Amino acid sequence: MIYQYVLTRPLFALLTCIVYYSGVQQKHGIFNGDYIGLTLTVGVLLCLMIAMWGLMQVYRIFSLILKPNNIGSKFLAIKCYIFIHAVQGFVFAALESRVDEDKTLMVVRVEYTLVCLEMFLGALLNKYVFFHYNEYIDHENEDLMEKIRLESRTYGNTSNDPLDPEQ
Amino acid sequence: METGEVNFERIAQGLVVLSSLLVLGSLITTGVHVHQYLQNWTQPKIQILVIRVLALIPIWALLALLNVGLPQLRYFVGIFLDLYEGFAILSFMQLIYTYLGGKDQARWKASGKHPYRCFGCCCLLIPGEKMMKVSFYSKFFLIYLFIYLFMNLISFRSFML
Repeated sequence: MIYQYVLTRPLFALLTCIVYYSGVQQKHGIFNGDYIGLTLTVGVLLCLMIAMWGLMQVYRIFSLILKPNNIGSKFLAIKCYIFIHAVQGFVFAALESRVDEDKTLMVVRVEYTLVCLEMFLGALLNKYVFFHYNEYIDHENEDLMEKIRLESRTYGNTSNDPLDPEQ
Repeated sequence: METGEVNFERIAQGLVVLSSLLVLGSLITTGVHVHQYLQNWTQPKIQILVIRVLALIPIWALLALLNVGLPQLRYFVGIFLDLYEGFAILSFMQLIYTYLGGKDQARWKASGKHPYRCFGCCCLLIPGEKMMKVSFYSKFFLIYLFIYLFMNLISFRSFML
């Protein structure tokens, strides 16, 4: 259910690329009278819905087992990125068909500037919330290292490396 | 240029500058984040998968910047965006299986759960099974849902036009 999206999403992107650049679909957007763009978008959204549902079920089954690994926030992150990307693409594709041809490129620019903004916010959220490195810190050895450092300072050995085996 | 006329070229330049700054910010933030991971490289098997998922941010940001600069290429660039999205999902699923101790372990752990119904009691989901078992009536329900959504989209389209 989830893996189908890995294959279908690039496949639909490739089809869209072929359809637009080969000139089969002249107009941009999805609500412009051509059914090809609309059909491709509906296909992507259906695959997305199935994949999101699959991810939700995986979380539902394993949420208790994976609780110590802080997996909830990671699921939320990956779902947010995929979902926002797809929904934003749909909304702006609808908007593209509403504006004049000369303003289409401006709509695309605004869309991807928003993506850049989301990526910046995503990077900050990843760093502090979703994928915090705290769970990978070796706390036991960190305490030991700190102890050695403190001891070496107390005995005036600050210039030497406390982990040097010769000392 | 007449007074009151919108200068799209200047707006486009502004958007390129703004997105460049945002991309730079996301690159720096992700770089620092990855550096923190490398400083605490205690579980390489898991952390490499996390870094693959984290790499989604700079790659998407750079491709989005390319789209802001060259919007004519958006369908072509979109393929790479979606390819990395797929790779990130694969890495994420691999991460979950690594946490659970492998695919067989995951299936074994899931088989301990009770089967439950979803989609308005139409689908019976049996955890641990390779494929979800879907009852006969629910297939009709899914086909109906697909047709209903498609018809709704068509009517929405005619409303927009």
